[in-house]
Amino acid sequence: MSDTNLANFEDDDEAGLFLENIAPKNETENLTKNMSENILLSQSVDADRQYITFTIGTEEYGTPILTVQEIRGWMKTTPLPNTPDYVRGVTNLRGNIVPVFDLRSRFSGENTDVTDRHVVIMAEIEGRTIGLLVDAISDILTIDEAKIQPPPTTNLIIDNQYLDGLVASDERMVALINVSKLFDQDIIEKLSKQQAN
Amino acid sequence: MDQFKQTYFEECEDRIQDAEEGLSMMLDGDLDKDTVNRVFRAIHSIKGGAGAFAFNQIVDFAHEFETVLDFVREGKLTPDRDMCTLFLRSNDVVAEMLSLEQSKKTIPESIGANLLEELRTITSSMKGESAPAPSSEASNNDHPTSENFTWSIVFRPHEDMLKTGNEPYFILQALKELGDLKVTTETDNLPSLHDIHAEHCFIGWRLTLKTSAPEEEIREAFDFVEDLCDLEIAKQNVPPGDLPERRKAENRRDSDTPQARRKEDRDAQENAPKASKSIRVDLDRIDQLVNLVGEMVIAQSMLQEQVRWLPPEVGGKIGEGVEHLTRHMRDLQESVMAVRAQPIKSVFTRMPRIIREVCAAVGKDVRLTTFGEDTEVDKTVLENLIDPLTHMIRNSVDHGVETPSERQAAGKEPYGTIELSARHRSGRIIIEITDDGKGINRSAVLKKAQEKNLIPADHQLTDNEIDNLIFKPGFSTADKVSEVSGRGVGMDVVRKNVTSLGGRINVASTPGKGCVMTLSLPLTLAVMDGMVVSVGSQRFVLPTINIIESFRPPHSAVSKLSNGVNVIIARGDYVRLVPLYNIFGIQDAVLNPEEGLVILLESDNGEKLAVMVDDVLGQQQVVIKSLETNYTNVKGISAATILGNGDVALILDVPGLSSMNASIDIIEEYQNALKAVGQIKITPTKKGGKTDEESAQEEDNKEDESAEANETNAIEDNEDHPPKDEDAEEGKLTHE
Repeated sequence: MSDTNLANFEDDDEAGLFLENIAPKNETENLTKNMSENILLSQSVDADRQYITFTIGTEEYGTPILTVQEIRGWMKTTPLPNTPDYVRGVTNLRGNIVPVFDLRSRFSGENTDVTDRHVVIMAEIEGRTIGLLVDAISDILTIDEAKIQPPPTTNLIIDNQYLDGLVASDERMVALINVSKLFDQDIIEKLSKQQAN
Repeated sequence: MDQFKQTYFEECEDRIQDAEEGLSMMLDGDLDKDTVNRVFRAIHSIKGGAGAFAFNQIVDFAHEFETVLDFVREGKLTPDRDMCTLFLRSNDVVAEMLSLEQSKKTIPESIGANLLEELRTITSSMKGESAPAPSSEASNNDHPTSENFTWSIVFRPHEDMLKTGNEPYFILQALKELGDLKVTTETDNLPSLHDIHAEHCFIGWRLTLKTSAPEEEIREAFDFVEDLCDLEIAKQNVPPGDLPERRKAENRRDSDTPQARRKEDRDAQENAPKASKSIRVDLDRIDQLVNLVGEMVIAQSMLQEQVRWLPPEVGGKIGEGVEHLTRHMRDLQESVMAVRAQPIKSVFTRMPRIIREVCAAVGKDVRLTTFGEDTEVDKTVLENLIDPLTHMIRNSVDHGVETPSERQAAGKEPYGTIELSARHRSGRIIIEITDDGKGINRSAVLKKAQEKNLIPADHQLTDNEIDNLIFKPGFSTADKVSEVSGRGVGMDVVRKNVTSLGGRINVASTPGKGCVMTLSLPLTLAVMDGMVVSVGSQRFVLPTINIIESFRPPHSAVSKLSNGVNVIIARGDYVRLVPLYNIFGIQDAVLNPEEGLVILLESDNGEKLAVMVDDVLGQQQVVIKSLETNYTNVKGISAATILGNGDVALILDVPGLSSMNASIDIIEEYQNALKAVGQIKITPTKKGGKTDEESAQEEDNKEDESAEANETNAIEDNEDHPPKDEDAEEGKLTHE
């Protein structure tokens, strides 16, 4: 089930090292982009069913690969005043101003203590480009839709409404998150207001 | 085919405006030949194109319209004001038909039916007066003939004629309608199949046309292709076998028929200046250019920043080069912006039509005068200006100007006047809409606002504040919901649109005399001059245009009002002071105003505001990048930009900042925090995200800083500290 083109990382550190060591930081984006393109080309599977998975702490999450534009190492962001804690600020993505959201903070309220090993996934959601700060990229999975289970009411730190489902892969559990729901503009605005009050 | 239609509609838009301008001049009594010709030409071209696309209703209407205009052109008819109004309305009808055709809707018969009737009445009365005109075509009446002539026509399109969207078939068809047509195709020039170019036209036609129509009408069929083909038109009075030597179209023009000569004049006027002065460029290409220049501005500021760190022996020459580059970049950027800049005329010329429509709907008489139509502004701004301006004009007619009877009762002229003006002022465009109506009924506005809970009942407002209540969401004073305005979604939407362009809107009213609505918009949405300032480890950009001066105030200049608002004395005025570290929650900023800098700002409506920052880092051009593209708007921030080191800096929104101070109750928040630890003393604090220990510690620091302040002051006094911002920047550099 799991994809071997990207290499199977056993733990988060390796994934981080992979991105850092193979290419200098500014080339990382191209590399990862090419990488995902190669994967798309080399495989005859339906790209719709491919998910990129990443870790936050010990938990593994997945998002459809087609929403991912590129993956970059952590870069300094410019904080936006009076926004929720999970908004890490904005960064310069080749001349575009892109907001970066801290997924850990969004799920648990606890800010990520960023290091050079942290990774930002640049995703395109409903015409907007956003950055998602995660601990590490883990894998690319081709997931059979039939095997996606509805999210149970477990002790996951993430609210069920942001989950598309759960999938078991090599005895790991991957939670498929719905990023557009997670950072729906209305919700963001609502939260900003709450924060301001 | 659709793309040709698109080009046609685009051209028609220009022509309609052209005609409208000309007609407006005629309405004001300018019956100069050039003016009338201009209108005639515009309508004639529209008709011609409409014929090619078989928009028959447009052709019919434009034809009647053109016929009447022709009388005016020939001086047989002198239009009075009413007739000019009729022409203007006819022009509107043509515009409406075109827009219906463009959106592929069918044109209802009713549109323009009565106008058509009126035009026909004029035509028939003119015919009665002028020389007998047996021909069905009114415009031919100086060529009265019912005799059938045989014309021989040679029509050889140039290779690239098809590229311009002209279809020979339609031309031939148009000729066929004139009479009996025989067509022979010339294939002499047809290359072998191998060499043939699919987009070129290699064939020509020899035509024999038996018709009663005059030459002008035959030529009309070739109106659009005249320059794109070899055309010979000759009257045939000898058998086709031995034709007289063919004369080229150019020669033919030298012939003696008055039509040909007049046509020549017309063509000369029409083609000569246009062809040489302008080209049509796809907007995408210009946008690409603007983006590239934007990137170059960023790269250049990066270079500039790096050069500063070079040792002087290396950096000197390079620095000089960078200076040159900077200057050229600025010129380049201005030139590119100038390409996008367009006169506001194109928006202003839409307004008379809107006024006529609204006047007809509400039974009012309003005259419009415009000033500064040649004021130029960026195309994006221009496009986004149409809706708000339309709405404001409708509003002025509907709510501002009274009915003729009301006006007479108030001792005014029965017709109202709306003045629309545009001018540049300090890097912005100012548009004013002035009406001489009844002004804003302040008591009604106030009552309505209180009824709708838009303002607290006991709130005291100045007259100006009351006037500006009309921009509040959900506000509408119209008692009835009328077709024109009064749905209560009006002016707040206008303000929203204007604000999203980085503009401001303001209204000032004099009861009984009318009101003035002022719009202030940036000239471009792409680049601006900014002052980079630091607050803690963060950098912000202040629009240079808003900056009056920067200075280091003594503690005695800063004081706090009982309502918690900090104020500062700047040149004798008390100005609200906003510490940026406070409203933006920045932790590591300079807290002592004597160590930081206070920058005095003026927003577009003249309101003054002072902000406290750590330092001024320099002045540079910044490329404006919207935050809303990928995120949402943030209060106090108008946009973002990319600095020379690739970092993102936020551009401050000056009017937004001044409203922020009012929206945050620092004292209440602080007192709550104090209550928690049982402290009573009140000192400034940061908003949220800080432990009490930190606050207390800061307080100590602040006191220490105050103690040092006197010393600092003494030093400051020796160091001539000029108030001008550029100088302040220099002063700062010498510090280093």
